[in-house]
Formats: sequence, C-alpha cells, structure tokens
Amino acid sequence: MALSLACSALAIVGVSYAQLEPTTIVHPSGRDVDDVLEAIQEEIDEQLKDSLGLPEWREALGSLAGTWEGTVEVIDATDKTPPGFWRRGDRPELQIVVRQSTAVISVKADAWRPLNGNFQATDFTGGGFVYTVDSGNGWVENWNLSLAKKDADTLLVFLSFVSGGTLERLDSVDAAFAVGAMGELKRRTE
Amino acid sequence: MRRVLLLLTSALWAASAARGDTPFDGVWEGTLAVVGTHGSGQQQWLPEGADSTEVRLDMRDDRARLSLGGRRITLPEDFRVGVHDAAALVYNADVYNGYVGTWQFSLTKLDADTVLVFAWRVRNFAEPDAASRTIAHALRGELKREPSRRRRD
Repeated sequence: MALSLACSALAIVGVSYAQLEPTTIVHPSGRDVDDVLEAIQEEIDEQLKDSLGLPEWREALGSLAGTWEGTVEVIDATDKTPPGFWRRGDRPELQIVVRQSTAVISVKADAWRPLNGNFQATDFTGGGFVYTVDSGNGWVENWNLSLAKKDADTLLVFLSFVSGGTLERLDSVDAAFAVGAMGELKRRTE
Repeated sequence: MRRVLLLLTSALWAASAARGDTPFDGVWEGTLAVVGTHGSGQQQWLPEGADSTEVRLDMRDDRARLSLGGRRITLPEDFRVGVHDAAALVYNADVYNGYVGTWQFSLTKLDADTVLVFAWRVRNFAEPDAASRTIAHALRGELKREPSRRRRD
C-alpha cells in the first residue's frame, strides 16, 4: 500500500520507474543473476549449435563473407561465344565481395569493373552459391558461381555464364552461348 | 537448410515474370558432355573417366526432378527452379556432416523446345587434406523437351 502510494506520488511529479535506482538481484547460489543468465545463454547456444549439426570442419572453413580476389581459367566456351568475351584458356582476374545474402562480382580490366546484375549469395558454411539471372537489350544473362572453401582464406570458384535471346526474339536470333571457368581466390578482407 | 532454400527461391522469384506454367515446364532430356573436372576420388557422382552423361530434368513451376544416367537424384529437398524470361536456374544443395554439396544448372532457350545448359556439381568434403577436399564436375550441352510433356510457351 505504501509502495503504491509512493509510486503514484512519483508519477505525479513526473518520475518514471526507470529513473529509480536499479535493484541488485542475487541468485540463490550467491552469484550475480546476470552472470548466471549469461552462463545459461552460452549453454543454450552450445546445445543449439550441436543440434544444428555444424561440424567443426565447416566451422573452421568459415563463411563466404568477405572480399576474394584471384584468377580463374576459362575451361570451356561454346563456338558462338562472341568476340571480346572470354575464350577457352583465358585467365581473367575476378573479385567477389560477399555481404550477407548479396554479392558483387567484378572483373579486372584497368580497374575492377562490376558485372551487371543483382547477385544473390547463399552460404552453407564451407560452400555456397552466388548467382543472378537478368535481362536487357533483348538478351538474358545467367551467371552462376558455385563456391567451396579450400581453407579459411582460400575460395574455390566454379563459374558458368550462359546467355541467349529473350523469349520475344528467340526465333530471330541464334546467338546463345555458354562459358565455364574455375579457379582459386584468396581472401583480401573479412 | 529448408529456410535457406526458401529464401533462395524467394529471391529468384522476385525476378520471375509469372507463376503457374512457365516457359520451362516439361521434361527435358539429352546428353551433356563433361567439360571440366576438379579433384578426384571415389565419392564422385559420375563414374571415373566418364566423358558424358544422360540428363533428364522434369520441371514443373518452381520445382524439378533430376535424373543422371537413368538414376534419379534424390536429395532431402526438391530441386528448385528460378525462371527469368528465357533463362532459368535449377539448383539444390545437399549439406551433411561429411560434405557440403551444390548443384547448379544454368539454362537458356535456343528455341521453344531446346535449351542450352551449363551445370556445375561441387562437393566439399570433411577431408583434412585441403588439396583433395573438393570434387567438381562441369557439364554442358543441349536438352530437348519431350513434345508430349510440353505445357505452354
């Protein structure tokens, strides 16, 4: 009753509960409750990690997040691959920047030049995908990169690029082509 | 795993023109050449030294079934399909304690019933030796749609 009256009085003069001195709660064990809660949370996290079955080897390889640079080798290209595009045996320099569920892919010319498209990234820890399917100027473009972590700082890239005419001009063009490449990229930044 | 594939599907579908019948619905068959390999070992999905394999893709809306060499590939989740105009991506992942695997088929139409395909199958194993951890194969070629199974273009 007295506490209720005191709180009402504080409310009238504009003092909220939050401005009152915090009360220290002590666990029956004598430890600070915050420490006990933190220990419980750590135990839950550990159990959750075990239940998700993320093995140590995948944890050690880590995620795809970061900036990766290196050279890939073009291992295959169809005959109709247009002049100026990658040919079998070419060794373009590639940069992959993965941030959560998106990625930016750039190819080195005089400087890093980002490829068109909104690249999406899916990370399974130890491996994953980066891809985009896009269209413009009567063309469809399909970039796909399968990624595998060789170690924490090395990324193996298996790339395909397939392009062709849009549906409305399929009958008038005969220019679809496909290119495949693979290589090893090194981590530049986290 | 299911949540990740659903997110992947959602992202692709944001760019997809329409639901229901897509230009890729139907059964696509053909022989794809092995045009690239990385690593080697006994746990391969193709016989050692194979230079081609028969491929059958049964595509319906946002799902697909895959058979290689007459053998159905059965994974915990269905293969997913993302369609954008005359291009499609068919993909899946198999993630176990022993390896992380991905499948990616990039398709573009050559005509109503023919597609050009480039595919990567990559598996990253719990192998302590990094040099032999990863096995990958690239496939490339054309698939034809069975006329009886074509639904709409």
